[in-house]
Amino acid sequence: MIWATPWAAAVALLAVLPLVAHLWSRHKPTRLPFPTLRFLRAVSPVSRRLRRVHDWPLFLLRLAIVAAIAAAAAGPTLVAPWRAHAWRNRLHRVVVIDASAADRASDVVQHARSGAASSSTLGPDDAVDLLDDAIAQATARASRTRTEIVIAWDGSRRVLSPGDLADTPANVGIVLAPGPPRSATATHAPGESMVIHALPADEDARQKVLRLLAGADRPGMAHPVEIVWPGAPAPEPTATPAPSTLRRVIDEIAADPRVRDAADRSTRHTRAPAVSQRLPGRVLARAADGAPLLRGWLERDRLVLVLDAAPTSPLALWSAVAAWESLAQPWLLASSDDAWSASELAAARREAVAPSEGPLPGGLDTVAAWAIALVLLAVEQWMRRTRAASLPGEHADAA
Amino acid sequence: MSVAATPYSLDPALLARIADLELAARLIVEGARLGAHRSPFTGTGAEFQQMRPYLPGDDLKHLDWKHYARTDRLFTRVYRETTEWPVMLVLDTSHSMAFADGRGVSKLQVGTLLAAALAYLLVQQGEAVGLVTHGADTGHALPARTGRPHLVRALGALSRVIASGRTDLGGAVKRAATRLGRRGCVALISDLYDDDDLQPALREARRMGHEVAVFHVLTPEERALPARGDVEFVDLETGEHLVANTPAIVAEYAAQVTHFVDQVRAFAATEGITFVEAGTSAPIDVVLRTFTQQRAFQAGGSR
Repeated sequence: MIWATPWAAAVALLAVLPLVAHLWSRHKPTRLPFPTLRFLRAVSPVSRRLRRVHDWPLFLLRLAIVAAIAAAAAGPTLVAPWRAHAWRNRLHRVVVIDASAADRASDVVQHARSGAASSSTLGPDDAVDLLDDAIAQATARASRTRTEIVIAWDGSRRVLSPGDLADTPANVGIVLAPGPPRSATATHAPGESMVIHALPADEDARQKVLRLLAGADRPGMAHPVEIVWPGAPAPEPTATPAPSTLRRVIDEIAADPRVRDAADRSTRHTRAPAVSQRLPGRVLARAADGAPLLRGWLERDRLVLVLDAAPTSPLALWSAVAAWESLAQPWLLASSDDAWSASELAAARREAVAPSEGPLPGGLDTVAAWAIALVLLAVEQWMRRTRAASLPGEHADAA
Repeated sequence: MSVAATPYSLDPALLARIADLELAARLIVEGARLGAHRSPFTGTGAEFQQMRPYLPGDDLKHLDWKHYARTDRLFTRVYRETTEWPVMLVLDTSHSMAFADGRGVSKLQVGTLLAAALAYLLVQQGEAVGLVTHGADTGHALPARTGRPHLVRALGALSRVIASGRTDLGGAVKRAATRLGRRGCVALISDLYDDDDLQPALREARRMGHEVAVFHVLTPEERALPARGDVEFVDLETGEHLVANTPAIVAEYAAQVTHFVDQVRAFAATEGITFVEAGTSAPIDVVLRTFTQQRAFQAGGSR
């Protein structure tokens, strides 16, 4: 048990009040020498014993009330290992809103709060100026809970460069939320934005891919993607130059940790060419032996992905997902050349680390302690009224 | 049977402050005489009672010759028993008698005054009076005798009694009845807080042919508890403690005491014992006259 304000436990000294009240109500009886007790015994055989039996529960209850009030004032926290662990893993987010992302500040803040136990918001203002305050707040919190800094800006280097995040402590997580340019809009509807050649022969895999790609909430993409699955004739890349913005999509897919993880767990297609053969396109994922599993290149205004892995391997799914997500993020397609690259974003992002020995803060159970005190008070009132109703007038005073 | 106080009645609190016990006794007796003109005890000696027609076998010396000369009829003169009628006073001096009422008059003081008044009255009338006090020790025991010197000894003994020890009224009554030797009167002055032995002893005294008079001395506080809240009662004789909330038990306590007094009164009526309530607040001369009237009622006006 830890206490937020241990000095408030001095309130427990008030426990003498019910003691005094009890003794006062019992007040020492007047001593009276009397000729005989024979008639008194007949009419009051166990008067004193009865009073003791009736008084003690009420007396102890009053002591408990004072103790509960003292405990509540001291701000108690019941310490348990599971509770401390859960407390340290609670996520606190410091949201930094740059002026360039002011128009979507509410969305960013709402999204940040949805996954966090608590949050604070700085801005909209210059992100670099706000970053010092954010780091200070996050550092103060990081000793007792997981903490992340969420930065929302337009994704350009002019506003925020990778070096600006260098001062962020290692245990503070960083979430970058580059915003879309206002001109970026989806140009292709979900149904026509992805062309898949040769769906997996395996029915389960086919259904999974179809369900994934036919998601109703999938937004439209700025460019279509063409995925060539194993079994379909592989196209050859043409010499047509592709927009530079699409190159970022390729980078994003290559840097996606989910794609890399899926590649580690995938197997190569049995009819794939030998490793020594030069294959067209950029290798986006390789097997453990270095064989390419996923290749991609840009063809005019579309993205072509060639899957060399087995159709039922994890990579078959995640390559499609990565392509879709990358093309659905308009900021990647921004025309500005000073935008953060996908690799820079991937390098800058990091998970928040839970403190290893962060103590629980005192006072977590204060409300519960007050509630207990109130319940005890109610019980005391009930007991007093019950006694008063069941005893004659003079005896009721004694209680 | 109640007797009203007269203008000559003296407050027991005032009498208790009179150091001279004989003076106090005389004041009480004078008050009783002036109020009722009758002594509680008849005197002793040969007294003419009545005349009746002569019956064969009557002693000729009791024939009234003058009456025969006048009327020519034989009548025999009948005389009253004229032997001495000793009275043994039994005064309870146990510790419970030390209890005093609200004015500071203890039961022992009232009992002492009552005993002194009775002794004074009896000696004045030529009766023999004795005294048995009972307390922590065997107490004083004066044989029943007549004369002023004996009265002085009895009053001296009474002036020295102190309340102490536990009650053994049964033993005291037996001792008094035994010391009387012949028919007499045992007058017990006590609060009667004796559990077992008293009534058998009184019954035995009656079987021995003695008259028995009981003066029951109680304070008003014993009859009705003062409502003082929580009171720790300490038994004067045993030292036992008992805590009680007096307002809660006043009524039941009064009923208990009344029941006890009624029980004693009923026992006295059954056994032909004169029972007189002698509270510490009642004038002692009134108690004496009450006793006289009750005794006359029980004895049919003669003895």
